[in-house]
Amino acid sequence: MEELQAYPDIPLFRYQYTDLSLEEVTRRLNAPALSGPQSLDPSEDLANQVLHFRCEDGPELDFHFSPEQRVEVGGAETAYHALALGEITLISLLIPREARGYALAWDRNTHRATLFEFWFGNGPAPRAREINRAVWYGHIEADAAPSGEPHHPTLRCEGRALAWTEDTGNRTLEYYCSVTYSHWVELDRLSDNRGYSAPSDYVFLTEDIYLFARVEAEFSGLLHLYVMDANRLQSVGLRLGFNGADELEYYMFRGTAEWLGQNARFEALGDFSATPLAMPDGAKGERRIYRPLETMDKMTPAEVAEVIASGKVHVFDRDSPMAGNGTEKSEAMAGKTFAVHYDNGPRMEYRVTGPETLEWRMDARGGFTEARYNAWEVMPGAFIFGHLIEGAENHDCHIVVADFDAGLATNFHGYLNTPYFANEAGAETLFGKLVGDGIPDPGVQRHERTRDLLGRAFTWEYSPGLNSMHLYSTPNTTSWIIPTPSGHFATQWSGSGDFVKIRDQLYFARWQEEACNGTLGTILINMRTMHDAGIGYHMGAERGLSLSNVGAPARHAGKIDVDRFFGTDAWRGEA
Amino acid sequence: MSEFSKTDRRSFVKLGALAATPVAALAPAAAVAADDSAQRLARMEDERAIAGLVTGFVRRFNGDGDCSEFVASSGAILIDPQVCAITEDRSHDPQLTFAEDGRNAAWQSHAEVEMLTHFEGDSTLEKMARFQGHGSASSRASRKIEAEFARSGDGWTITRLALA
Repeated sequence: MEELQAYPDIPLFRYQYTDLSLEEVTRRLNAPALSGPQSLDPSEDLANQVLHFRCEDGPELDFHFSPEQRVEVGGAETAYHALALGEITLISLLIPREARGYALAWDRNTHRATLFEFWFGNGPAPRAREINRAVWYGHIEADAAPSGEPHHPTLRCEGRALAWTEDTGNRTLEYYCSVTYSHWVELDRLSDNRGYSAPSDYVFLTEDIYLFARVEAEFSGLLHLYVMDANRLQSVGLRLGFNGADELEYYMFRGTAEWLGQNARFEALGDFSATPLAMPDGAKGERRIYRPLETMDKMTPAEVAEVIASGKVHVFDRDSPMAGNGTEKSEAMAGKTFAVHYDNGPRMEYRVTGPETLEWRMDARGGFTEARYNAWEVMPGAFIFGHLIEGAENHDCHIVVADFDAGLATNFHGYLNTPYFANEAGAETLFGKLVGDGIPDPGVQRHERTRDLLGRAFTWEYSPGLNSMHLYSTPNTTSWIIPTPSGHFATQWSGSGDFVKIRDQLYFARWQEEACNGTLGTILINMRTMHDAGIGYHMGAERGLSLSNVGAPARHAGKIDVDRFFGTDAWRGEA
Repeated sequence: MSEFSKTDRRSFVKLGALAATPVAALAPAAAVAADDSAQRLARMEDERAIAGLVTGFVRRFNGDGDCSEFVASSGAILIDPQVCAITEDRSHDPQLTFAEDGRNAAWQSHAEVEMLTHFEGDSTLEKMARFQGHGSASSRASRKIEAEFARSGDGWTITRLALA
């Protein structure tokens, strides 16, 4: 068994979080519940106040506060901590011995209030360590009736990004790139410069102040909740749950932020609806949480080999929904004879015998092997093409961008049989040069990794009804967000990425769907035509091994300014 | 784009009802030159019959989908299975051409088609779209109805119909 780590030094999707039982969770919560959340900032003193929370279709709770940060709620006495941000007071507490608690955001001016009810175990989350939450919008009964706009879910944060620094010292980049998800990058506690995606709530409290909460589902299951003032760039928040070492984190914090920008959102103008994935018949707290590992095929090397040996291999032989709006394939490589010399990689010789057939030989070993390929000339003289390496032990593919005008080539070399799942694609990036008659010799020049895409978001319209947005959130992360038909971006996930500049406004990008669907996606993005062409490499139990085309027109949603948060070698995973 | 596939719900036909849709007939020179009023009348009846056949086919396609009575064989129809509805575009005149012997004809007209795509694949995008409750999408596109007809013993029948 690997050593437990509070904040793992491996990607979170590789870390085996302990499957804590509800009994164990309850035991670990008991003492901290009685002492209340820790905080560097003293609590507001609410002694002798009584807050009657009322809402439609939800709980009615009376909070009776007493000295020394004690509160009685629902017949249970416990400890609370309260931090104020402007007119909003955020109060947090756990109910002893019951593995549940509350966070109350109370507007002292309007008496509007939002109650986060949270609990561990008994669903809908599949694991006891993953916190459940239900959100109730109501008010605090007072002499005066509640005034102002009721609290409600909001899309107003969608597209924004902030860099937060807590009073604990922890720094986090927060991309609010969806209405139901968010994407965060831990700059201190994690060291690999990756971003991760999690289901999130966005609540409108006032025109300035929002409540945000993400549950790090599929990972630790921690809740990270804060009230943020968008104008003053300040927050008060609560962190609750168990980290990778199964240590309870139960603390409140203050934060300050730096505004990083806002990417476009794509709802119709005037549409402010904010519950695009509503589940009116769902269980309490139920929402659509993408759990990709559950639906992913998980194959052994022997199973992969068996499926491939049975003939389930598809190389550009069927229509791809990922390219319904793709560009025409190019036949312009037919007749070319050339080689690609990769640095620290193979020397590939090519004889392109037709518009979809070529012959390759690796490192001058043996004869040539025929392979089916497809190619797209994305900018004059710059092609992306791909083919399988038949006979390779790991069922490799070469997906290559060849710039015949510059004599340069870059290969996203894909392969199967990774240590995690045999059908999950691994990838490496190989830089090299083209060699052949009429091809200029670039000498030592090579394509290079780029930050030009960092922080950018593009929408991709692959086929009618099949759209997504890419967010290149870190130097080694590609995140994808799926819209609803109404244009609300919703479910989100992410994986390893790599980004290479081919020419000005022409970029070769990839993503790996690790512990997800296993695909290696590659695209050559032309920012002048705002279109891409690419190739997907996928292995599945039912449909076998495939290379298929990818292509879509793009919209540039914007660019978030995050470059300064990453070191020069951040693409390697370590700053 | 998607391949056209042969539907399996069409079989032999009987001549459909006549319709009065005007068509721009491009009759062969021999036919045009004929100064035989009976022959002209017969040609006009053929034009109306073929236009009616197309309209009847479209109506049935949009209805229960059983177009068997309009076509010569089950292999005559080449329509992408994603097409779920066809609307004839009457802002353009159809083009109708008769063979020299008058026993065969070719038709071309404009139409709007509605396509319904089910996201059944194993790509992550399709999986996530299904997860969000969006298992299919509809779209509209302009197409041309390209059809061929043969005169049988008791009227005209569709021997080939495709959307291009």
